[in-house]
Amino acid sequence: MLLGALCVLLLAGGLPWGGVEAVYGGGLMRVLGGLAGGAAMWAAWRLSAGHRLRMLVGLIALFFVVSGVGVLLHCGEKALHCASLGGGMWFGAVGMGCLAVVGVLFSVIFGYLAHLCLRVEKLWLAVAHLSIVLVVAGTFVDVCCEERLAVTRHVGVPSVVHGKGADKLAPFEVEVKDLHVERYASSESYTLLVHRNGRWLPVAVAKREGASIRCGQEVWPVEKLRALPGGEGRYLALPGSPVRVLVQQPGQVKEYRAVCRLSPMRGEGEARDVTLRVNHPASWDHWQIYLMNCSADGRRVQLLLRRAPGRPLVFAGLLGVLLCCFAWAFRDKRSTQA
Amino acid sequence: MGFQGQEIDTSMSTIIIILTILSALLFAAAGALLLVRRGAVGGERVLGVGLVCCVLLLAANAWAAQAPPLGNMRHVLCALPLLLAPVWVYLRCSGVQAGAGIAGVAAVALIGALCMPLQAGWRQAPALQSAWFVPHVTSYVAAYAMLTLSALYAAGAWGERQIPRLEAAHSLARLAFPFLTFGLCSGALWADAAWGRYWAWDIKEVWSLITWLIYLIYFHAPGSNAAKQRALLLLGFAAVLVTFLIVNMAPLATNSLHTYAR
Repeated sequence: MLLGALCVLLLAGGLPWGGVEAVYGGGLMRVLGGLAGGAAMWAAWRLSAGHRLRMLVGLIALFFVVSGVGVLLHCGEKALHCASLGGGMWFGAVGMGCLAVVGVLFSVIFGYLAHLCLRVEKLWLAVAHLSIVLVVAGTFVDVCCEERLAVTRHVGVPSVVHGKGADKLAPFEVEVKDLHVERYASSESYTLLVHRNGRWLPVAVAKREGASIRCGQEVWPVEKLRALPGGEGRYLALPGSPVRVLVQQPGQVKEYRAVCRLSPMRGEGEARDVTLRVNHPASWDHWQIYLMNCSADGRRVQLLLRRAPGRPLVFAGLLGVLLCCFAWAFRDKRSTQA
Repeated sequence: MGFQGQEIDTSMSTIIIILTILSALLFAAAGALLLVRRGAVGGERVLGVGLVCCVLLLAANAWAAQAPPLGNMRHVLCALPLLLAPVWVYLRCSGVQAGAGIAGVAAVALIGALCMPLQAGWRQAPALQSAWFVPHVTSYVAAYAMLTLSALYAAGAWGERQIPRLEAAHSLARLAFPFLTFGLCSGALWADAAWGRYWAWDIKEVWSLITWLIYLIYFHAPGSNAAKQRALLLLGFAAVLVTFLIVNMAPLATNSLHTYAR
């Protein structure tokens, strides 16, 4: 099975310009995913020394451990929130705190049970295989249920048109109120263009020196540059013949920041302002809003609205795989084979 | 030579080139000394001086880039010897004399760095400005450094020294595997935040997964057949080379989401 998966991946790696999506979307990877899930269950059974009941109890116990941690985190957060409100909400805070303690008890009791059932020295491996099942399951859920909407928005222009998929609507509207594009100052450059035979030809590269720009013996103050109409950067028309112009190419983008207003589609609930940055998506009712890009003129932004129900499963699985790998490599030094 | 046509600070470029050449020469000398006489104090001292030069090189790269210098191939190759230093210490504590191999790998990495464009004016693109940037790249480079050493041991595992060298290769691969896994998982989490998907079937992603799977198969391979172990370790290293070098340099990867790693 692993060899089969490897072959498909080799095919995907060897043909990056096409076919990968088809291979994945065509169902082959899903079949392999199902097989991998089955293989992981089989491995867990083997690790529990062939006792099916023991394996079942161990896996159920592990499920309760994960649930307990989830309850602890969720209720702990709620308890803190209630406590911060004060007054009568203290009762709620105490209740939530009790539930969080139940989460701790769940984790401890069922963790111990899982520890007993799945054998001490192999527990990490069992959890690793279970984590791979989680990743596969989360991916499968996302393949089936994920919703993605690519949206282009003009800055400051309210719009009700919602992405390319008119049949798929997010439960909120996005309006980009403002866009800030920060650039690396040291990466801007200046080119001297000359108009000859009906064309603008670059003849020299100018260099910025403090508040002035120098090209050979000629020096111009930076403040005289004016905004280039319909584009990024600035320019300075130079007198004399032939006609010359100094053009500033803007520096490399350091960061995009889009201030957006998220409002519910049917007027239910309150609108909320969020600042989107690359790597920092915002959330709204299980949807993530990503800033993907902005146009060269800085007036349009590309957003991605995404609802991926399998995401928590995948993240939990990745975390499990990671922890188990480190535990296996650094803790379980006695065994040399997985 | 410059990135996006910008001027490069000539004096800083000269310093970076001199430090790279000096470090490479020191590592080559240390490798030669340790190869002639295993565990020679002189060789280990030269190796230590080389590592100090590498720290200065990293600082110079960071100063020029005004960011953690791990954004392109040259940066990564310059950082690789430093990530081998803890491996060297770990192996020394375990009684394995790997100084010659480590010095050799470091020298080759720095010679490779000299062949790359200088890009002293490299600046972080918005997608690279993430908390994942340093741990993701560092874990991969550390893993690749250890796997290179592991492959060297596996390739040299013949005759009388077959068993101890294969054991050393196995220990190194075992040490590297969690870092490889961390690189893969952190990449998925970072991609989820930056691109809105945790897996994009990008050529670099696919090859890193292939590398991970080959080592996974190695650790799952039953029995202790030396030839099989050696073959899998060398196959894994070949996949590392494809992921790290060939994928970045091949023209078919121009549409890759990892093009800024060139």
